[in-house]
Amino acid sequence: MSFLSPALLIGLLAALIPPLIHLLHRQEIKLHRFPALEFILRSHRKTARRFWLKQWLLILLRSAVLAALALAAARPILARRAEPVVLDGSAPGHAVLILDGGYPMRYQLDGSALFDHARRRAQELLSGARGQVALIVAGDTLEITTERGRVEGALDAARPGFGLGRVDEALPRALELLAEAPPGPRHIIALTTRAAARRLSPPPLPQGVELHLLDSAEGAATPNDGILDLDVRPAPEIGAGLWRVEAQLGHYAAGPAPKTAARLELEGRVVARAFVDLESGGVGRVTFFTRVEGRGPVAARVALEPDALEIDDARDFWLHPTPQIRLLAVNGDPRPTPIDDELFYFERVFAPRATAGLRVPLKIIGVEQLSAAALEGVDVLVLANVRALSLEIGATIKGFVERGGGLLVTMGDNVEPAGLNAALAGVLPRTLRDPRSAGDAAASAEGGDRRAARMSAFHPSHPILDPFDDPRASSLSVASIRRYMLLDPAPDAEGEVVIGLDEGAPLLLTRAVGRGRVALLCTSVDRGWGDLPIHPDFLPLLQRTVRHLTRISGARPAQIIQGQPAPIALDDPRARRAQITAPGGGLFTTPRPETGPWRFAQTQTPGLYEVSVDPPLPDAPQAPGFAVILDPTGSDLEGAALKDDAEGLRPVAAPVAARVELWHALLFGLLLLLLAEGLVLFKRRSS
Amino acid sequence: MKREIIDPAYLTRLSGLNLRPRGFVEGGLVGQHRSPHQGASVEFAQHREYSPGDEIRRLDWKAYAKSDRHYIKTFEDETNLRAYLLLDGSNSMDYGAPRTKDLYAARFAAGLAWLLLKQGDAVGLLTFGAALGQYLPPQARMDHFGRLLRAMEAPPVGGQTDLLGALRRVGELASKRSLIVLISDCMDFREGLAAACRQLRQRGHQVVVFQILDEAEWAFPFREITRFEDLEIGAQQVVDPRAMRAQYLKEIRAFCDGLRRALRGGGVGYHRLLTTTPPERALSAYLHGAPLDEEEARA
Repeated sequence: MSFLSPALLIGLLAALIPPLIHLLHRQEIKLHRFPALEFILRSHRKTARRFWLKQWLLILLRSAVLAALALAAARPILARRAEPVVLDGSAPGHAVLILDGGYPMRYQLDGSALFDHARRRAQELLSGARGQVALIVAGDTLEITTERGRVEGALDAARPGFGLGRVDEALPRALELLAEAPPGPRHIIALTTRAAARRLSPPPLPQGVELHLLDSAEGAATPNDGILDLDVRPAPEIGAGLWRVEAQLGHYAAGPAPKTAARLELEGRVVARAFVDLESGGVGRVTFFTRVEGRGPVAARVALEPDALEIDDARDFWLHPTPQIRLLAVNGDPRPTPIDDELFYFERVFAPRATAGLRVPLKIIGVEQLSAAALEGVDVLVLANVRALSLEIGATIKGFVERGGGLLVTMGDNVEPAGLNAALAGVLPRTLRDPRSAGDAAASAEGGDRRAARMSAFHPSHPILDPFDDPRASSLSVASIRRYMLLDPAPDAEGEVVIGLDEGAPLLLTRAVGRGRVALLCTSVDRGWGDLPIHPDFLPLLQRTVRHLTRISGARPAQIIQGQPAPIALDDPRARRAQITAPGGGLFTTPRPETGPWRFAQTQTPGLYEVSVDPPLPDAPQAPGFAVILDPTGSDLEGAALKDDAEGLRPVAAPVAARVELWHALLFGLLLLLLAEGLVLFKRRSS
Repeated sequence: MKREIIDPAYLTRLSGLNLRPRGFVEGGLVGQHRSPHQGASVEFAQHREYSPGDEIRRLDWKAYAKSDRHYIKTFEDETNLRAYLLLDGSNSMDYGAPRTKDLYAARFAAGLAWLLLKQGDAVGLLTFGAALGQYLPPQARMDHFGRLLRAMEAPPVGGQTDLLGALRRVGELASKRSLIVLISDCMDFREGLAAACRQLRQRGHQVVVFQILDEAEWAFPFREITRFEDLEIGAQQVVDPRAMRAQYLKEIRAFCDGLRRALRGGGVGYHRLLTTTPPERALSAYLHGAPLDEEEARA
């Protein structure tokens, strides 16, 4: 027998109090002088033995009461090397069984999954349990069964999920359940993996609650390989339209794994194979290059040879055909010297090697060549430093945009605001006013002589700015805008400001016209009005702007960790509702939210999700889908540290030494002692 | 230290008793008391008020003529009744509340002496404790009452009760048949008290024992654990009264019953008096032959 609070055993000294009180009281007994002592002596001789016995029995009982109280406070326990005694049928107690339902529990050991091993063990524990027992299956959701009669059925019906398992979330719920249980020993028994147990950070356990972490593999080795990460990006440096797929592989086993085979599949067909040597507990990388033909996205997969945990040996993702944007640029200020030409930098932005994931045939014409015929087959029209347009051309451009075309208008010294305003009325986001040289206001405000404005106001969620994690930290913010076109203030005008200057003027605006989009850059795309073109981020800014005008989303396939919300990339304003097809064929619809990002939350099953507009829109490009992937943390079942902060976490306690608390028995005995004392007192007084 | 035993009110209440000689019928002194002139002496002692039953011829007509009241002339040798009051003054008598047993005993003895003297009997007194105390030989004069009172008011002798010594002594002193009244708590547990009394009885004396007990001795009302100390020998004992009260009551009642049986079996009168009973009432009851307590009534 041992004690949970041995310091409280000092309370046993309290057992000395009754005899001490008796002895002290004996000194203070009242003296009474009495003539008939002879009769007292005679009577005492006959009753003294019984009196003495009763008196010391009382003292003994009172000492025993105090000793029992002290012992109960010290919480004595009987420890035995066995499974938890609380459930072995020999002692009452209340327990919450937590069954880890994470995907690592799908690991096959001796012909069955770890989850089934854990289920059998839970059934064994349950069959011997005498107290209240609740079950929490900590899979993708917490399935809680509190009625004892239904626990066995819930145990039979439990299945592992695809997440890491929510044992961390289950622990506080288990504590809540135990808090409602009647008094008695309380136990939380979590059947999980060693690695998951190490990752746990249990909440502070209240007094009387014990946590038992049981290894579902019961100490057996659980070697495993898995795909930890995929990096899919265009590879224009290799060739136009090529994708680079780099897979990060994890090897969690005692020995190395030489020549581990990996393959890339497109639409179920193996298109590439690779081999990599993996060290024990190490990570290896394998890279594939591939090209996607056709106009729609292709289901792709990187896979390893199946092992005991098959689910993390393959990862699906979407590969998109390289989009093609036909670009027609109208040069309003052509120059014989290339570097002085209005579109010198613009051309470099859309050069084949620079357009990652894009094919952009660029055609440059003069203003006089712009006609309805020239717009045939064009996706985006660029008006760069164009002086003015005839109303007829203006109407043609408007019709082009309304039919879904894109229009980018940039400024320069040649621009006559009145002419453009007239020709592109109803198309431009705002009415042009006059060019303005930057710096006056800024210089006076700073007391310096700065002659340029800076980009400082960036739209928080505009897709044009998606390539920039933080536009304020990009090279855009240091670009000098020496001159820009002032716009009529129009608070109720259509369109939105994407980038603003520190002088308060808008620099880049967009607007939807019909099915098309218009972007207005209030400065030049050459170095005439500033140095923006020579900054590195000018390239993704313009590429993204053109992509936005054509409604082509980002080329990198989206990979969402299981259970995390997936963004819906439907930029077409006509799309009010999206239909999502899950890997199992399940259909979900989700409406576009009034505010905030559009997300899809039911990402429980890993695999490829298709997204379409509901109802379908004519002429709308196919919406990009997304892939839901497993959390790679679960691939490590052995508990090899994935992160440094795993150190110092609670070690796995399996098998657990069971113990029986005796304090309740002591308290019951204490009650009996009090009852006996009361009886002795009653008899003494009644006599 | 002098103790106040009686007061005028007490004597007034006693005078209302109107003592009759038949009160001593129980004592077997009827014949002697009604033949007062057997002796040659006719020495006038005093007048006393006539009581029904007195001989008419002994009325003092002169006194009647002067006072219009009936008095009887008494003479020194008018009666052969000599009463010896044996008053226990041992330490065990120094107990009780609101009055101690020895005070009660003295008050009772004084009342009895006053009644005897009032009807012309001779009263003597012997106090005792561990040893013999004062002795006043029997005299029938009323002024003897003052001497008796002073002797009773004197501090008790104290010490351990020696009843046998006192009885032996009174046996020596009482040459004629006398009334011997022992007033004591009888806390002398030696064998021989009844035998000594019977011996006196056999010698022609009338012996009456009044056992004086305090209410606490008789009912033992104690509740808390107490250290009891004997008043005479100083022995101590710690007891839980609740645990042994029943046994105590059994013991003391057995003792008293045994004493009564032994005394009455030998022709010795025995009466138990609790100090809660007023002495005048106890005297009245005794003189009228009424029982002094419930046990006596049952007996």
